[in-house]
Amino acid sequence: MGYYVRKILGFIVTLFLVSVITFLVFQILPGDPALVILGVDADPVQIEALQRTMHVDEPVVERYVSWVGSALHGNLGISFRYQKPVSGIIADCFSVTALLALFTLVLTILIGLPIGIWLAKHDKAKYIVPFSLVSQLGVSIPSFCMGILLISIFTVKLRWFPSLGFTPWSQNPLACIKGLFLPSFSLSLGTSAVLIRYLRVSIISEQKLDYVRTARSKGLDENTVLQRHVLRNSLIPVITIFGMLVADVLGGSIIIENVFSLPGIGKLIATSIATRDLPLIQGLVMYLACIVVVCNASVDLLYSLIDPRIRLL
Amino acid sequence: MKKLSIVVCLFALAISSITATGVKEVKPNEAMVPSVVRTNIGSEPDSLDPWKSAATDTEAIFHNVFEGLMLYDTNGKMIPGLAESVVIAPDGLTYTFKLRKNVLFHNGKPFDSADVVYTYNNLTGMSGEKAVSSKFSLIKNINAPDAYTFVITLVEPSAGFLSLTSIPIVPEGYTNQAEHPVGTGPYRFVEYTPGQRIVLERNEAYYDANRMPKIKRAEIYIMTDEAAIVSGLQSGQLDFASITAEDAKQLSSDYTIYNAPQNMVQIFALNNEDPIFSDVRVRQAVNYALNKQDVIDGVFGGYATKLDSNFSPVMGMYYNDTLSGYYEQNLAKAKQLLLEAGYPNGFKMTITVPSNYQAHIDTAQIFAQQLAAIGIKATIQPIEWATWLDQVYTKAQYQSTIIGLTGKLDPDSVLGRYTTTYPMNFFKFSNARYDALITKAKVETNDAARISMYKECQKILTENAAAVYVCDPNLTVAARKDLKGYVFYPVGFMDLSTLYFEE
Amino acid sequence: MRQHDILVECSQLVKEYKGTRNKPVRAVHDLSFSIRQGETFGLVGESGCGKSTLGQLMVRLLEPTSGTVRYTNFQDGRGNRKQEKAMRKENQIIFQDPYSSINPRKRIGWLVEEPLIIHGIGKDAQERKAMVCSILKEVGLDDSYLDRWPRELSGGQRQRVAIAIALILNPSFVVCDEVVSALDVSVQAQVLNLLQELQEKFGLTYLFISHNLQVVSYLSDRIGVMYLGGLVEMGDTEQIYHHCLHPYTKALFSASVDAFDSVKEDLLLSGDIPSPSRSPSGCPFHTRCISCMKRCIEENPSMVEVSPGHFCACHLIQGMNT
Ligand SMILES: Nc1ncnc2c1ncn2[C@@H]1O[C@H](COP(=O)(O)OP(=O)(O)O)[C@@H](O)[C@H]1O
Ligand SMILES: [Mg+2]
Repeated sequence: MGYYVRKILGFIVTLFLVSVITFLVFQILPGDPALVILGVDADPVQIEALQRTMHVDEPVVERYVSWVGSALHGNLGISFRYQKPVSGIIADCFSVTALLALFTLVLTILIGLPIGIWLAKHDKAKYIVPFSLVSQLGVSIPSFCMGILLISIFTVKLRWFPSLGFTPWSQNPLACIKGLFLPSFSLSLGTSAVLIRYLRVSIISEQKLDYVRTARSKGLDENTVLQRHVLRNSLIPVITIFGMLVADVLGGSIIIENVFSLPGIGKLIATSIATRDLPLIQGLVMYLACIVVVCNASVDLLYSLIDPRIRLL
Repeated sequence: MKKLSIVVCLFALAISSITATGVKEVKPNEAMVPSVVRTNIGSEPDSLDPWKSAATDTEAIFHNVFEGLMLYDTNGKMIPGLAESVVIAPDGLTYTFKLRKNVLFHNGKPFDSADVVYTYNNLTGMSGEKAVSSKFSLIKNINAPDAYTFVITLVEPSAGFLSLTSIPIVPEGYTNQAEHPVGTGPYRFVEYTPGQRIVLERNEAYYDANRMPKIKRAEIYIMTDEAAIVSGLQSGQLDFASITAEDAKQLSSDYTIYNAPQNMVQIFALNNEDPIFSDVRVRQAVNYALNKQDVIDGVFGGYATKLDSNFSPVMGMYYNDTLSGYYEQNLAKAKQLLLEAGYPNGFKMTITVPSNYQAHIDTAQIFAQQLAAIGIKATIQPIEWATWLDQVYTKAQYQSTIIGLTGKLDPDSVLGRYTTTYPMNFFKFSNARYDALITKAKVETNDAARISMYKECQKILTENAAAVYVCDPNLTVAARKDLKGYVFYPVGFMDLSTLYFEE
Repeated sequence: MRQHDILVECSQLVKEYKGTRNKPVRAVHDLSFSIRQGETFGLVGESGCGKSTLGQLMVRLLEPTSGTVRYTNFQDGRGNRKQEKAMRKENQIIFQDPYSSINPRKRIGWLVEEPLIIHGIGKDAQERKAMVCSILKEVGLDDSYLDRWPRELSGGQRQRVAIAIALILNPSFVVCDEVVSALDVSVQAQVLNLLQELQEKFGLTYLFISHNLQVVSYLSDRIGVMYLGGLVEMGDTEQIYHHCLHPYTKALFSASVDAFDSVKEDLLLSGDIPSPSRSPSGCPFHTRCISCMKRCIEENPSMVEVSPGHFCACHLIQGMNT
């Protein structure tokens, strides 16, 4: 009980502080959104008209209070840049980024899990050393370089995948997967490398425990011991890094979305900052804060799924 | 373990099936003549509503959707658009437009003088609302004697006025332009997905058979990343796109490269109110110290036109060609001028550059090196575009900067930037004779006299070294080999109606 | 009950672990002995001398570097999955730490039932459950434990679960590796008694490993004393308890007897145990032996039968005999 109340209170305080800080930063940051949107060819009358719709001339405190007021009613305001409700824009972009992140995590698991397990089973220098080299590359090559490389091979040369545009899942799931495969693959290489390292170490240290010997002594073969006893237990420390991986993926998506021209949150963040689109930024910040909370909650949930001893209070 | 390997197999299967279908999809496209043309736009449209939009990029696309009373041809000459003809009274004050019949807006509404009246009422503020534009303050009066005649009366004669009438005519009472633009152009608006693309489709009811588009559909992808644009072309996902000169070299064997001046002036602006640059001799010294050809070769791969005027030669009759070669690099002269101005050992200066324009940053680097030869130590300070607009463009809090300004059909809207009273005169240039000339040229109806006034204005700017006029970088477009008909305009307009695929 | 048929026999057993910097760790060094059907063979030695390694070698949880472990009660085939499984069924091991030796993320019932499933014993879940309940009852736990998690159990209860897991397959040979040393003293006796009861009931053969000579003497029929990977003395409990010959065994006795009036002396066992990766030349114990001779430094004594069934590896004794 108290645990939940504390969590929620902390969350509200975070949201409040974050929104105040964003608001203040935008007061200090030079740049007039109307001018950024219309550019150097704008007619002063147009700039004025746009400025009127933005209420930038009103006092800061007043604007903040009215923003909070409508935000409490679920209305995050109208984007300066797009002249559309912020919540709708974010929802559209979020569906892209969420799918991208989901695909990336699925790929990370599909790549990382088998390799991590295999390397733990074959704990020999002749396997580990080449892997360390490759994984060092995987971690250190920025995902956008990887993305460009993949585009030049799979899109330009082989023409297997598209490199631009996004098809919503609801419209054509196959095309959607196709469009997201390369970007999520380029993101997943780094995260898989991290997953593999953690998983390998975790499995190896778990395998040293006596219960593994007990399980062998029961007559299980190595693979079953691993699958039935070791794997679940060694996933627990790995889950901790999953939160980190999600953060990685969301961070990486900012760049990768530009490389693959995907209309996701990452691209939206970049545009909204560049255009000083305060309502949109505020909305995004709120959204991201919520995502962080959701991610933490999911990690807790995953813990309790994998380790039945942990109960969510 | 078994389960895991099954999952992996399924996944591999899924991928291979996806790629397999991908190959199938591409083939028919390549075999037949495409009915879709796909290209890119470098930035998000600022607004779909023509009254709220000012960005050149947006106009370049939406000029396919909207039309004015008059249109312009590839030379920038005004030609009839929604008006079949225009008669200008001898006093230069009354413009009588005969409107086209049988024109339909994209929403099916027939076009007539009521729409024109509605449009101009809003532009001028005669509707009682605030004026949508400041450019139409010259209009004293409008009226529509009948459904296909429209008359404008001006306060005073204006030679540049006709070029303003290319402004879009919108259907009377339609207020949803920002969501779903409705015009009369050869293409109609279909959809806009922010961050993704704009889709246009041929206006099957278009009135002019000559301008009837040959390609049914146009998809314009919003793409900012240069590498993504090139790979979009290479992978066949874009049919044509504007690219950098550098990429053009790489693509030239497999693509048709179109290359033409784009009526932009790349300017190395020196703040005329800066303590150092307020001395005309210092500004001239900077002009003499620089070698623009190095920029043209080094930054634009040779694809640019060297300038000594605030106009590009694309401006045609307005361009003052006598200024060409006014400032050839001459270090001795530059040093002499610096000496006279009291800077025998040069000085330190800052070049503020918007960081989103790589070409300007590269230019700044070349200039900084060249300035070092006469003892000027230039530091390059890249700043964010929004900050540039605020600090440099609006507040003129800078020492020097590099920027490209696009030309307009009406010379006044380019040269007017240097008048003392212009709010965004970030050059801080101020010259009484210049101001007077600009005011006079505006109302001069005699074309020859007006042209010579604008030429004189350019001369004043150059002689006073208001800024360093560097070059007009070409617009470089790469198109797949079977795509033909790309044409250039002296203003940013990507005419989709002339494009066709060769069979 | 006492029989003299050999159940498990190992000869010239060597186990080397990969150590740091490519120096192998010799945990078990050229060790031969056998365990008789139905007896409890006690194995003592200080921590780190290789007892656990030997225990695991005896049930084939570890592969020896060289040497063999042979069972007499069933056909033994390497690499044959079926026979390997049969071997597992016959040989079980119970570990020292009941907190790490059972999977903390499985319920007790599941853990005890798993061996039955693996070996296809019991025709359905119901029958298996009955078997689980009965073995739990044998170790003194009732049905309510079926659905409990290991964390809900005390150390003693867990060790009972570990015993249940080991015994549910009805093995003939069980290695008990320090099974009580992690438990409270009060619980130790209970568990030891339980082990003894179960041995009677199921006719088990034990290899009982401990570092505590007192505990080993209490339970075992025969005792082997281990030092640095090898046996230094072996004999009936009687022989070892009353007539031990090897200085190391003597030292062990004095250490455990004097545990209560600790003032007396650690004299007998001073100095550090040499590292198993750098075995000293000569007698492995010479570095700490109070009666070390020149010969001890140069020559490693071999096991000699001092009296029937009583073996000892020490130059002192050999000197006496020859
Ligand atoms: N897995 C292993 N890898 C390397 N060395 C080990 C390993 N297990 C045990 N050893 C070493 O082998 C020696 C004997 O260990 P062990 O058999 O556990 O002794 P005991 O059970 O008598 O305490 C010790 O020196 C120990 O450090
Ligand atoms: Mg041990």
